[in-house]
Amino acid sequence: MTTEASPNCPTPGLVQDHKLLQFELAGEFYGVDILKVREINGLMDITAVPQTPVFMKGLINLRGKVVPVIDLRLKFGLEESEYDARTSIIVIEFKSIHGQVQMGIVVDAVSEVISIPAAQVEPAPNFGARLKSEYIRGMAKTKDKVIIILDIDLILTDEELTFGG
Amino acid sequence: MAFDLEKVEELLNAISLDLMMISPDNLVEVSGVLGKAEPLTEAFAPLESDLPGRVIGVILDSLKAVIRGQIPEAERALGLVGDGISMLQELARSLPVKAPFKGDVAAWAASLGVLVTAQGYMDDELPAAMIVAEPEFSTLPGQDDAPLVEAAQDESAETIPDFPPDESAPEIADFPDGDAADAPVSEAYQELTAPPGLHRVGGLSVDNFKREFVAEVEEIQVLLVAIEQKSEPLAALSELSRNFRAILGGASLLAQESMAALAYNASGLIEYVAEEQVPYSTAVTDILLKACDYLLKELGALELGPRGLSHSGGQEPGYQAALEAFIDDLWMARQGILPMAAPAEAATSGTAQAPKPKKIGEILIEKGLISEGDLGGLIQAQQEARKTTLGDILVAEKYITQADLDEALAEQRRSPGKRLGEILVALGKVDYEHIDEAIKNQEEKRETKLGEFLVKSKIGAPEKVALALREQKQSEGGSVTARSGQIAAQTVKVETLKLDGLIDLVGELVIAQSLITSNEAISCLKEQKISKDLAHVSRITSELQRNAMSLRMVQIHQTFQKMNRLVRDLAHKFEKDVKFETVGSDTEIDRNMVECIYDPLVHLMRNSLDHGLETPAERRAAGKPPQGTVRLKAYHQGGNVVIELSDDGRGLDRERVLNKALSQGLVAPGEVLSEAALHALVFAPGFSTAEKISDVSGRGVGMDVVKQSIEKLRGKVDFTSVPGRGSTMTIRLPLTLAIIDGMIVRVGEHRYILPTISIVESFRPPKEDYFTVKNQGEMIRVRSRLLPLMRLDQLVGARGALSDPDEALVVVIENEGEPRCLLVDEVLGKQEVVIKSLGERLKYVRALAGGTILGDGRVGLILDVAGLFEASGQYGGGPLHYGGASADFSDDWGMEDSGS
Repeated sequence: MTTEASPNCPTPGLVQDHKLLQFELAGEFYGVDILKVREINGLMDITAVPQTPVFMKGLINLRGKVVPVIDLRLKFGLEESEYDARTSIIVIEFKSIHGQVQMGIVVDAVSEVISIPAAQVEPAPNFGARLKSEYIRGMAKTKDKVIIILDIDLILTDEELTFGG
Repeated sequence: MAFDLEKVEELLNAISLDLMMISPDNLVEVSGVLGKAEPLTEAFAPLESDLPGRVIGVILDSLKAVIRGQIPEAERALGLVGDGISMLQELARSLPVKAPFKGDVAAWAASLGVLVTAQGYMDDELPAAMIVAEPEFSTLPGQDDAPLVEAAQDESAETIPDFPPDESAPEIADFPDGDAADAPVSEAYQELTAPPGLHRVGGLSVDNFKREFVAEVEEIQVLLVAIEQKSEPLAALSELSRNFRAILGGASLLAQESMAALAYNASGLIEYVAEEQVPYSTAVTDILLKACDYLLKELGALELGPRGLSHSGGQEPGYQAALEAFIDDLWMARQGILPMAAPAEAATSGTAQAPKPKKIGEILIEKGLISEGDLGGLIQAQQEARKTTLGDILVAEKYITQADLDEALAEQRRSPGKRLGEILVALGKVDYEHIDEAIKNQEEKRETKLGEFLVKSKIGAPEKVALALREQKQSEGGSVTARSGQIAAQTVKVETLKLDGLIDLVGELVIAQSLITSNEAISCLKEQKISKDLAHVSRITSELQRNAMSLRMVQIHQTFQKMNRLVRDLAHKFEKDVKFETVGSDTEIDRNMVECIYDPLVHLMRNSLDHGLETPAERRAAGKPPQGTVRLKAYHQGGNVVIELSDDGRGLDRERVLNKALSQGLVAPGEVLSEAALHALVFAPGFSTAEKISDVSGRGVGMDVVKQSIEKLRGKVDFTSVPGRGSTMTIRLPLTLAIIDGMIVRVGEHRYILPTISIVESFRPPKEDYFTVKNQGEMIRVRSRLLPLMRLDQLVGARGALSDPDEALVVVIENEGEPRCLLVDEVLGKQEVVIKSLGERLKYVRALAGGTILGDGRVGLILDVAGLFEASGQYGGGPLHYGGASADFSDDWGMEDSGS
């Protein structure tokens, strides 16, 4: 399943086909690397934590583990919306300098798992201030829409997320 | 250098004996074999054939793979390694006479290669020697009996680029330095130290080595002290030598020359003591314990950097020099010149009652392999060979005359500490080369074991000796297992992560179970069978939870044993005669707590020995037995672990404490102190009554630190003392760090858990007890004291909380002796909760100590009282919102207690 690395491939790490979990956020489609996704949950009880920024929604109990949850809308500076039946918490698992870390992200809805050929991925354009372009690994064009591929590790290891320090 | 068949055969025999007896999961033993196999490369080099090199390469790689745990069928691999050794034996015999060699090296290498590759070696990772071996050999001038050490030294310079330059190899014996430069770089070390594939090496073995060797060193220490106190026979020393040898093997493998030198010389010293060439005395124990300290330091510094195995820098300046000086001392001790003039104590009384393992000679006679007469002669010959002094050899080899020797010896008596060899060279009687040769000669003679002697003198065939050796090992092993079977319970090593995962899941099970039982649909069922079954399930789950929790507990035994060593050293230092007793060392304590209580205990122990106990003379004058007693006692009491440290020393000097407290302004003149208050003074910051400040205690930064660290563990420490009779320190700790006894409080729609240990009382104050002090914030009068009021809703940013103190509830909480009031809506109840970390991201949120899972499955937050105090003090009671809203009153509260 490895495709040849083309010399004009813009971003390192994009030489392979992407299996992405696609989700919706304020009418846009985003994707995260499926290998980073540990599980997808419906909305559950979130305990708010004081002394934290507004996008830090709080903590959930993931089978005995306390996992922090971030509202991705608020993190990206989008408008806040009421949670409804489609609202989901995607639990991301990744390695950081502190070892294996789990974090949840609240999204409007989870749609599907898609496979994007490397050739269809383009580098991220400059979005301006709202969404740091280093958060984006690329843009994938499919027939009818554009999917923003997020570098979720980078978003979740952002210094801004170490609270109260 | 010519090929030395005899030497090679000896080496090969030794290795094959080892291979027959080791178990593949004992890393220490396997690395010992690896250490022995390393010099083979050089030994075979003069043959100028690449066949032995290939075989050796495969052997070394396979051993390393076994050590790293890459071969599941390690037992089989070791068998094949054994085949390789026999192949080498054949080669050693056939090659020099150009006889044809019949073995199929390729097929053999392939079968080993299969074993290694079976465990996920990628092709490009396959050790080079497995495919094609092309080792380049150069000859090493003068092989000696310490090849491991030397090899280790040589490698470091070449393969560990980030070694600090001052880490240059310490001189171990009288080796001329020139040798080091042209020694071959063995692939072994290169592979271990070179960057690619390193994390695997490190992840698997360096950590393992560290752990195993730290355990090994600790074992040595315990045994050393036990031998000195005669609770173990002197014969146990030989066991120690084995431990040091094992460390030597591992250290050489990891190219840690200092460690190797330490272990090498320590094991040598022990062997001499065991053979009674060096008298046993406390000085021996001292120097060996010191060697252990250095070993532990070296092990601690060992870490895997991005570029390979390295020492973490930052050792205190002068450490390296001290280490090298110490290695020199150790070397001298080994030669029978103890650096400290210690009175030789005859400490042989303990020897007799020990069930000694059978000697190899006895077994051989039993087997009818040799006659008793033979044995006598042999042992004598062996003893004689061992006793040969350097001078004798030099004379025998005709390098010097007897007269020269006498002259040099006379010179040595004049300036002790100088080595004979150095003197001879200084006198111009002989050159370094000859001394070097003679020393090797001498060591060789000393190291010869009876079995080797037998084989050498052609009386016993190697196989038979091997059989006898195996029997000896078994009889030893038998007694060891029998012994440890009584003492140590069988254990399994489990990763902490797995353990924590299990405990988490069990916690979840308990919650899920309680959710089911409290479900209305179920609780309204009148069916008796269901309620009976549910009760049964809940019994099982709570039992399961108790069991899971107990997995976190370990016996305090090990900590106590370490104290044993400390007491010994301190008693020595302060010139006190101390009997150390431990009671209840099987008391269980949270695994995470064990490490946290070590330092405070050390501190208390130092105080006790330094200030508490008197010197033997003072004790006699006071009519007490000259030997003081220090007792360390642990027991469980009502959900707490209690550790008591008591001595029968002079007790607290009231006068001095009072005077000191007066001079430091801790006590007002004329104030009458209760007993308890007087004792509490000891824990005041910066308080010390020591008149003479020693380097270990009395600097006044002790007891308050002890108190703090115990309180950090949510424990308490108390001090009581009877003048002239002694003092007792009592540390009370919660059973486990994992569970906290908490009160659930509600504020607005949020619930928080407040640790019960910091709650003093709670009440609803009448209106007249509420005050607003201008610029000082709000106050509540509690029994004629005015205490500052903190509003929890403001601190955590909760909405909808009651604001009127006479409607809400005031909880008085205490931090470091300072009480404050906390306003909450209500107290919902008391619950024991399991503390969970909030993770890296949230650990800086000051108001929170952690999280937990509440009975309804939601996450609950545990408040950190110290953090609350800090936050309210700093923000003047303002809210703690991120990017916080403005504070209403900005002054800090400076007037506690002022209303009284």
